Amino acid sequence: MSDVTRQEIMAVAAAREIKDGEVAFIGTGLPMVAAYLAKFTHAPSSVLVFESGIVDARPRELATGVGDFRLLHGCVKATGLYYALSLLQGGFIDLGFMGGAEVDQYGNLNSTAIGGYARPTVRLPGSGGANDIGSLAGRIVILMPHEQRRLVPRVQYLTTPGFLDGPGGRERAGLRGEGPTRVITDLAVLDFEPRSKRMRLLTVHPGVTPEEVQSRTGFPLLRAETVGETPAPSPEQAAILRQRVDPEGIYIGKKG
Amino acid sequence: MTLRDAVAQIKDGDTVAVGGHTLRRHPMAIIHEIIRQGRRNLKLMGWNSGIDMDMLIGAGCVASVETSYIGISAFGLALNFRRAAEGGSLKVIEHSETTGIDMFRATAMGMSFFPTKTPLGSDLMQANEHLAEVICPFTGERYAAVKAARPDVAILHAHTADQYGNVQLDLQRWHDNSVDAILAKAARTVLVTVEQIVSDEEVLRNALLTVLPRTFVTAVIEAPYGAHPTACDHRYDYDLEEVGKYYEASKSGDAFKGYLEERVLGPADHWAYLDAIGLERLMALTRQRVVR
Repeated sequence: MSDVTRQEIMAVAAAREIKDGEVAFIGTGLPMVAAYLAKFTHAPSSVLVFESGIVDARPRELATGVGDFRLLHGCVKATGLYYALSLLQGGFIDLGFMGGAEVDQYGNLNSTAIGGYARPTVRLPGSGGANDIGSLAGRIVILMPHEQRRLVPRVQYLTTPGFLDGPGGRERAGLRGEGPTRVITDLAVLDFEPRSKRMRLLTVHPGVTPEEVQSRTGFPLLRAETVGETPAPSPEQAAILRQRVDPEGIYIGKKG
Repeated sequence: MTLRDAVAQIKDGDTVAVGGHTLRRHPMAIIHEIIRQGRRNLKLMGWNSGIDMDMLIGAGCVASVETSYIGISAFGLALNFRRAAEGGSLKVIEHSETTGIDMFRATAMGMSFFPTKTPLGSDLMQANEHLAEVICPFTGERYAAVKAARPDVAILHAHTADQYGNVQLDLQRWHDNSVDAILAKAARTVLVTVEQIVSDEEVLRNALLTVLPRTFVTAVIEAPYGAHPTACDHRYDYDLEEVGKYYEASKSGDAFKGYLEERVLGPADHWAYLDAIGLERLMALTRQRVVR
């Protein structure tokens, strides 16, 4: 399929991270698309928990805002954001999705400030629920655009913990959960090498080379023994994404 | 009580907790009146903030903000907030959503701190005197202690209240109550605007919908569309046209002054503000609320 968008490849890769029966913490945007795709395909009994406290939603259409009525359709419990955050702290969430302005080689994320905290050159919105998800979910899947200024050796402000300063960092700080297990960008899928907890290239998207990925990364990437190709959406997955999940192409991109 | 009289209870330099979250149910009519009355040096507190705090910052009312997030939803960064923070004129105290709520929760439960895991190991712990590490005396586990917050005032918007100040949310959005009620229990003075004042009997008939009994409420003021341009779900949707206009204006200090003049300082009160927005738009927001 030559008309596949990078966002569709990202959505399929992200959907694959949700295993059937798992409880996933979802925001709006591409993670929502991925979660619906997982639910409509290989993970029908996964439970989607939205940050706004909407539990086990089966929405008929995409939401644009946190807490939209659209998400309430067919959910089994409508509660508040505080309840959702308590599920995280209670250890009831298997995985969460997140992004940020910067991610570093240990999977730490910055969504607070660029260029020094006291007098930043760009003041960003702040944590919101990002720190909560990163600190408390069982596993973290990071989605972001692949740019050198975003994949940096060390985040300028550590809003959301990955592995902090490396192996054992989370445990020393008193955090729970495995930490980040996947980074999905518009170029590649990466993980964290188990011993060093440093970011490692797993697969490149169709048409992308490992060299291109490295050249757009601000630190040396580890590489899996064999760097394969990220699977393109199957015809079934593409059809579900385009016809059922995001027919207007809001998050998966417009097709020519 | 009029909106003007209620807002007069807020003093320069007060700590003010703001209800609502993201683009939902912020007490915008109260915020407009705070700007009209020219309050200065307010210390704002919240847990997931947006146009509410950004507008007060842009109007020069704010000395510090304490929250987890200030953004303008899908439009992007909160630009008045951004300018003030980058210029160094605004003190920012960072939180996660959990700790942003826990600071109120501690007070509401009569405790001086609340333990949590979220900010451990992150820079949220740096230069924040309201977060500190503690060790569990039973397990030896590490926690962050969130210092209890006692705002001078909480400002909230809800669906209905009776004349005594018993505040209710519509059944369809009752689930959304959790944090506003915690804010109210933490604050000394609690000002609530509502879409509609209803009879005492109506509250008694629907006691399950009460989120704040009158003991927690200082004043209720009837202010239909009092959350506009944020959503007051089940009554009306967010007004993306108005938020977009706001966002465009907030790109420069001068343009934003023009916005404030047109939308806030020009209109004498909340009714004049609603006239400026116009009946057709307000009705459209009411019709487009998504209820299925």
